[in-house]
Amino acid sequence: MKCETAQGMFDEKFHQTLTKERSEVLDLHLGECVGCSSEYEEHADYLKLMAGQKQSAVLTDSEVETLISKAISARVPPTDNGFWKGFAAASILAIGLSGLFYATQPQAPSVLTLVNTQVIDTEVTLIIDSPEDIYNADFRIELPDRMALQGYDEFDELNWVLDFSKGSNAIRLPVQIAAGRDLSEPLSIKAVIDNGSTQRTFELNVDLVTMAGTAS
Amino acid sequence: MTILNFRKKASVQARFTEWITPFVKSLHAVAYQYTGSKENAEDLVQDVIADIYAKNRWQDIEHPKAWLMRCLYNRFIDICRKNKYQNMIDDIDDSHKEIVGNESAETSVVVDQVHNAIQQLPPHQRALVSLCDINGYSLSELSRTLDKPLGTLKSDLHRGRQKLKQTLKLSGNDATMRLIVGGAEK
Repeated sequence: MKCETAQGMFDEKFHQTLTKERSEVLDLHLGECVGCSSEYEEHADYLKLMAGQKQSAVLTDSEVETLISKAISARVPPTDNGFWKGFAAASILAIGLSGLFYATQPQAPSVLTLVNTQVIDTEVTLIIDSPEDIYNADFRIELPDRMALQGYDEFDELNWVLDFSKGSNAIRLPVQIAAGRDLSEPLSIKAVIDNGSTQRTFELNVDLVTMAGTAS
Repeated sequence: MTILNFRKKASVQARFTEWITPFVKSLHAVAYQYTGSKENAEDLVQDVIADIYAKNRWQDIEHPKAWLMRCLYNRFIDICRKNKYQNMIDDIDDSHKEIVGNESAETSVVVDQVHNAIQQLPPHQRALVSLCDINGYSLSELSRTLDKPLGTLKSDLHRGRQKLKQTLKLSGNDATMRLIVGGAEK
């Protein structure tokens, strides 16, 4: 056996992962070669030293918990409490997602309930009926002219990543309608739900006079 | 922003926390060998966890421990390239060590010396020595996990080991270390 080959087997010898035959061949070489024998002793000492490092700086369970919590909060955008302030009433639309992930021609969602509201500040609540738990769906809304989410009036398009639980899911959108809007024209809100492989777009029309909502 | 959004955060956070928790101690132990201090190791692990959570790719991982070790390694090397963990020898933290077996003053000195010597290695050699010689990963495992050629890993590990052996012999306490290592055999 060559010295280079023998030295390439030192780790396996130390960790006792050599086959019996190979181990015997290596032992024979180590018995005959002073250089390799000395190298092996040195290497074994080195590996023992390294093994002594293993248990350094162990985290406690509470430190693990804190670390995870910090890591998660570092990536979650803070919520704006002011976002919820100021809206006075609500309209409610209902959307069925039954066909979202299974049918190419989904059934038209139906309107469940409608509640009247003030004209300027209002809240649109979408009731979305999902056939199953859906995680990390991208939810995007596009708002018409003169309508904005309260606190986000510089944006006409917003999106979130949402989980939908099986059954009804409520999404409340506090919106503000700018003064001067012709209330006889229905507002049209576009909503897009994308689960990564399938996308569905809804057109949500709200009549500002009757506060009736329809979806298509 | 929405009621559902708050519910979603709680749900995903809970699932992510449950998924990551079993691996955090192992990640931290390896990160400690990489960075040289408990606090830097916590920062590194926190950084990796935050990144994984934000990118939301963790749910479909087949071999999570190997994948996490790869994320940790890549993150560590990235950070080293930006010099964040350069010259950290002065920051090496002695206050959190727990030594396996019979603890003695000599053992503690040796553990410190080895720890300091490891920190003097270039980052990729430090990482390899830590993964192979301290944490028991084989080179073939690491080749798959880190997606690096076996030959490259082998030569990097060899160089790292040679430097370490040289540093430890030149430290002036070689006799003490030999004594302790020899004593552990009994």
